[in-house]
Amino acid sequence: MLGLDSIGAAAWNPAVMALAFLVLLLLVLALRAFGRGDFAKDKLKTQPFLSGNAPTEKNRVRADNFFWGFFEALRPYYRRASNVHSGLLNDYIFWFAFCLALLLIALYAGVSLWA
Amino acid sequence: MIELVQHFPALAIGVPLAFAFLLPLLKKWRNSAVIAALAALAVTEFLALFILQDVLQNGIRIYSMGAVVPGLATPEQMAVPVRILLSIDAFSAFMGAVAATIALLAGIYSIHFIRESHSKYFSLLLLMLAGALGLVFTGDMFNMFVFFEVLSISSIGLIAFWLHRAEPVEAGFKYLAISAVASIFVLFAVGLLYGQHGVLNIAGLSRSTLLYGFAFTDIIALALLVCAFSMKAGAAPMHYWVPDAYGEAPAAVTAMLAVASLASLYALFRIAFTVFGATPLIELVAFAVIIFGVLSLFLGATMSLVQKDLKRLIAYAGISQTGFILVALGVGLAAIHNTPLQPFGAMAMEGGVFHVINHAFYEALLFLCAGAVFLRTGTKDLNELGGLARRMPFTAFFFLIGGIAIAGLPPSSAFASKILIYESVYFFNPLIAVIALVSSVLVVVPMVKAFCAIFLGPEIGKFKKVREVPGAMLFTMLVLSALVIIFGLFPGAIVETIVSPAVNALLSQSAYVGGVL
Amino acid sequence: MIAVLSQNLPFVVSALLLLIGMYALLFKSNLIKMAIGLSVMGSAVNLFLIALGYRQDSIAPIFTNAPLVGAVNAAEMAMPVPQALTLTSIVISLAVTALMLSLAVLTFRHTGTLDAEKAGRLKG
Repeated sequence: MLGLDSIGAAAWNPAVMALAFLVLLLLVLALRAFGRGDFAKDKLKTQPFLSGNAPTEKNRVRADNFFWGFFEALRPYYRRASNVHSGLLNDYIFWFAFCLALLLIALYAGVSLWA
Repeated sequence: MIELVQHFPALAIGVPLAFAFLLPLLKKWRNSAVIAALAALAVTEFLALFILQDVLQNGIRIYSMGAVVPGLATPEQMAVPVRILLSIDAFSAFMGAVAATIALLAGIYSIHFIRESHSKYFSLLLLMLAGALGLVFTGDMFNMFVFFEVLSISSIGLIAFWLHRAEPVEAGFKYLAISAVASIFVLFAVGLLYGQHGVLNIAGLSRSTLLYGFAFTDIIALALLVCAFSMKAGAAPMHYWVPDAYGEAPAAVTAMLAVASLASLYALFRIAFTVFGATPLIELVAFAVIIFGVLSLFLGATMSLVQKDLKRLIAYAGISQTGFILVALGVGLAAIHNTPLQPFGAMAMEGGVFHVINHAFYEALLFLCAGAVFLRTGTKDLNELGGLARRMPFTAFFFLIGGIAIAGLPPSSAFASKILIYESVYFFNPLIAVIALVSSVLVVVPMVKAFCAIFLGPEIGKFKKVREVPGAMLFTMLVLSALVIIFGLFPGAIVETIVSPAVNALLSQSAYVGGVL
Repeated sequence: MIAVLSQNLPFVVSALLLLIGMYALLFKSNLIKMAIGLSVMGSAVNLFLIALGYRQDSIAPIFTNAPLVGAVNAAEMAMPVPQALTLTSIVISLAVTALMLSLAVLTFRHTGTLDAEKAGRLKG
């Protein structure tokens, strides 16, 4: 969009992408037409194989346990971060005052030293 | 009729304001209140789009409030503008169009979502729209403060809308305290700027800093304004109110709150670029903005994973995306005085401003889908939900599109804006681009968690009777998804027509001063 | 130092009031005390704006019955714009105080306590 030589060229053409999608769809449908038409629906042999127990309402992975490995690996970080997010209004205003103080000091120091 | 066209800027603020005060009179006739509100929202959308097209063609539009000839900045031939000016350049018109579109879709969504107190709800929603449009259209610092207050106070009534529960009231209280502190410091800074420069007009302040440089009081005023508007925009480490307020508000209100945060970002960048753009203070402010952005990126993406509440999860992901906008526009700020980096700064700003409109759309889409789930199942707790894709296939599909958008995958519009940001920020400082990319990947994780927890999985007994949401709500989600996909398929056209003029208007301080005064 | 302070006394007092208001918001957990802190901060900013517009030995900025330019009791006028800003700010802080107190009352009704730590349910 700015014509910078270091970025290089790109080919983003939605019409070409849609046409390619249609061609691939036709190819897939053609391949599907080579199959047998008399397969048995809803029999056990056509259903996906789930090893172990299929999830039921009582026996499913709840949302709290999704991505458990990621959460467990970062548990020290999450303990600290959750403590900071305490839900108290006083802490919200404290962080505002903190950022304001830092920015004032930084601006004043920057202006005195460099401008 | 031609006479009326020149009054469109004032009408764009006046129509929602007038209808907001008219609607409580229609309290008894619920249908007429809803119809009047939707008519006002549609008229305001038309006005905002007309103003956008007009400004893109003809340059900056000025409107002197209350003057006989509204098109002149100084109708009485005084030395400085004494009336309140609405000065709409390309960036203002862009933000106004975004605000009006999201408000119209939120209004259509709320027809079925809100079950009681329609006149109060729509009245406050129209006030929020009037406040947002006034904030982005105005050319006067104090008027900006007033509309900032109108926006904040009307949002509080909507966040605490369901008064029979304790959590929305608590969220409303926190949001009220936060916005009151921010607005007190904004007023303090406006007073300081007036005392220093003698004018309240943004173009007048801009000319004053161009001619006379900055003083010590300008440092204090700039720090106050940057911190106050960053807090209202939801930048880390002042972002703690965002999940509380976004999580407890009704879904359409959350979409409008995202617009309110973007309006605060508009105010921040208007002050940083247009008022103080020529001073050397800007480099330090730019680093502060970039630091806020980087913190938001990382904190938003990681804290989003541990949430149990659906809307809080989406709100944290939204904080992460606000970090993108802050980083991009911070790089643009830092590159103003740094000549070899200027094309990269302009490209980063194009990405950032494009990301503003994308963020508004997909954030609204995700919150509206979350609201649809809440309407039908009555719960936002991710642990209780499950298997809803059988019953609500359309909502699942729209949520999927929203998740694709927030991850930055093609063909969504966020892909285009994020690529622009990565490629330009990389040349500024590769570490920032790496952190942005990593957070963009990290934010996929909570979105996958939310999608799989709500829509996939085995069928839950108590949700067997859940139906799909009404057609009006599906229509709004469809419009937002279509906009996300269409902006993603033709990003070059969108950037050239809407985003580039906005970026040029923001970067060029002298064009703003010359156009207004 | 003392001379600077005594000449700029309204501004110093305004800053002190801002700090007092921030102290109430930062360290007190009672919702009503937080509302009081915000009200004090609003008053601080109003004081700052009024003090901003004052000029030495000035009169009210009203043209009716004002002394003429060359007359014996000629005087400057104080700046009217900060007074307009203050009026608007007073009205806005009225709305904010009213909303804060009503939300505090509602919180008390729902949770039976005015302490933010005990009444707060939104964490994380």
